[in-house]
Amino acid sequence: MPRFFGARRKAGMPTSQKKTLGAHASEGRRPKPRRALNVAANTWLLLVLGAFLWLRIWQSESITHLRQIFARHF
Amino acid sequence: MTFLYARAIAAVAVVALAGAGAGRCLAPVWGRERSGLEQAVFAMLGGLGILGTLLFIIGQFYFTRALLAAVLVPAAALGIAPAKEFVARGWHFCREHAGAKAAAGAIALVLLITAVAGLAEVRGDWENDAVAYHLLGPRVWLRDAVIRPVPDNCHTAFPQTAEVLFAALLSIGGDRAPGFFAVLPLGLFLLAVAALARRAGLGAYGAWWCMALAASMPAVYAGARTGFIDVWYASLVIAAVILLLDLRGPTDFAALALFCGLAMGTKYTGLLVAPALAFTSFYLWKKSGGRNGREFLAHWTLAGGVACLVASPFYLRNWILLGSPIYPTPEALLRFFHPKYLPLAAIREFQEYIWQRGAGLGRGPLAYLALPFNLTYQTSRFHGAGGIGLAPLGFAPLLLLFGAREKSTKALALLAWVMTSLWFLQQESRFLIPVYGIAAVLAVLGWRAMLARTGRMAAALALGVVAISISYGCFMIASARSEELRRVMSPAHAERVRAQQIPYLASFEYLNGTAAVRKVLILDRSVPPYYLERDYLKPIGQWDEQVLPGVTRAVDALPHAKELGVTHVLDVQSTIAPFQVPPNFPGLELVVDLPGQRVYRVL
Repeated sequence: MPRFFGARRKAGMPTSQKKTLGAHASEGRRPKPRRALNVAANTWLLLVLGAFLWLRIWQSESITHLRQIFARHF
Repeated sequence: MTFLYARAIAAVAVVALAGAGAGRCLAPVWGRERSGLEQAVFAMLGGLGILGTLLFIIGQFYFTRALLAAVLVPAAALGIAPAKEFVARGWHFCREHAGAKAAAGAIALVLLITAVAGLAEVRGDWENDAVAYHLLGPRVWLRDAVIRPVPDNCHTAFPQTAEVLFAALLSIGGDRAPGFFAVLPLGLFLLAVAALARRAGLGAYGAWWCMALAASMPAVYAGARTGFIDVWYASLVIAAVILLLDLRGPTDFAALALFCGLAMGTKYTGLLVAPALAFTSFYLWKKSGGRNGREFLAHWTLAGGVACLVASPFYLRNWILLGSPIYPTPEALLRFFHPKYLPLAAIREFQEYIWQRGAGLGRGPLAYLALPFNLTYQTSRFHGAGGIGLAPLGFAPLLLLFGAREKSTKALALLAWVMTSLWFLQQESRFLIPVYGIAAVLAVLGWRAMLARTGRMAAALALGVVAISISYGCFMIASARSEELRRVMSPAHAERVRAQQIPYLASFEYLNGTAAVRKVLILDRSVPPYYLERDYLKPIGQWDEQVLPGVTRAVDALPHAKELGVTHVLDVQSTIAPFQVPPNFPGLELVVDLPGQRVYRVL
């Protein structure tokens, strides 16, 4: 049976997420995280998530309405 | 109702099989060495595109149900074997890679919503493009038994591979079929994104996540709704991009040119894609050492020739019938072409409208730099497009941070940048859907690169970004289609809201149900003739097209109604104009008088 998407996933990935992405064989051994890169990636992802929570959730019409109700009652 | 749905589903199945059958004949163009997924995607996209082009060419002379059956039935018979193989492979793959359940679930949800909501009756006013022109053209072609641009709507002269398929679906599957068909281009788009992901070096699960991210982008979905062709167009572009990443010989260039040509035969924006692809191809060629320059140039000359040949029927037809290959003609081309039916003022008004529509995200250099942020968060300024989720903004920059090593990744990023820069001049969100597909692949590549070099905290945040992207996107998509879903689930509700959703419904019902009605004169340009099942004349079109020589106001056609063969006149009080028939106009008898709508019989 020819495989629908080609190659199978690589074995031996360190995290479950890496398995799901089919990481390259060259990435099979996890290099030690570099602190600066790690901090930069974390900060960036926090900013992206924070901006979403602020702009799309906190300022959305329904949440604004709920906030107003909450402010009126308490 | 069940019969209507079954007929629509059967018609889509026949057209899909016919596409697979036509694609089978094209298989030698891209060869047998490619992966099963790529072959299946190319066969379906190429087959449906060529089928649309072929029907378009024949339809210039003759376009009836008998002709459609004569073309579709043999093609569908040819398509049974490849379609069976494709379904079997897909089933095996799903069983083999059952791990990506969350991604598969999101994809299945979006496809299910599209399929079910697509069975709802097409409704809306002149602001709904499906009603205004995507489905108007096919309906008029079937009535007239020939494919011609509808003179009162210049958009029916756009390139039409998709609209010709809509006509086939309307003819054999009824008016629900084009809506249900939407699930096929969307599915093919997602498979094309998966094939691109595999070509860019991602594994099977990475491809699943690319599909899930693309499927849950509301901005992608805006081009996949009933009657819209943007996702179909984007699939053709993505197919060309897959080939671009692995150009080996003249046949690969010919296959790339086929998809470029089909994209040009589907939307005018396809004309801008070919130069962007050529530019990226030049980059890849230079990166590969830049040898055999003459051969490279010869291949691209061949590709350009094939692409123009494939798209030529649509442009030549317009040139012959309307005086300009691109219609409505851009003002810059008016020195060379003299378009019919469209006065200069109407052309300027149309271009002004297009320019204004794209003003939401700004025009200056700062707006250009802020595009990634605005595309992600400022969705309300985007004509209901609804954003592309967090993943592209979250992960694609991480590719830069962690160094995009592979040539294909750099080429994809370059192509996305070039196409986005070209798009920035216009800014209709739907035109950028091919880039959204590429962005989904770049996002997962960035996610993978990041996971290889960061710790658990980043992995958890990344999961958050993906989860929010997909769940928020699915929520937006389901909300946008909730009304259509409700109409399919509850026929009583559908009937209750019909009059609110179809403008001037009572008049249309009278005109469609009265045997004496042969030709209707429509005075108001905002009335959508899609709902009229009779021949009609609209002297002033939606975009101020002038259908009758010398008639600059619709009401001026009234004295000539009899000699024009008009039997009834539809006059309405709309948002843009009051009633137009003067009181006690001679030769007319008022037969329908309702709030906001009147029908007269010509005596």
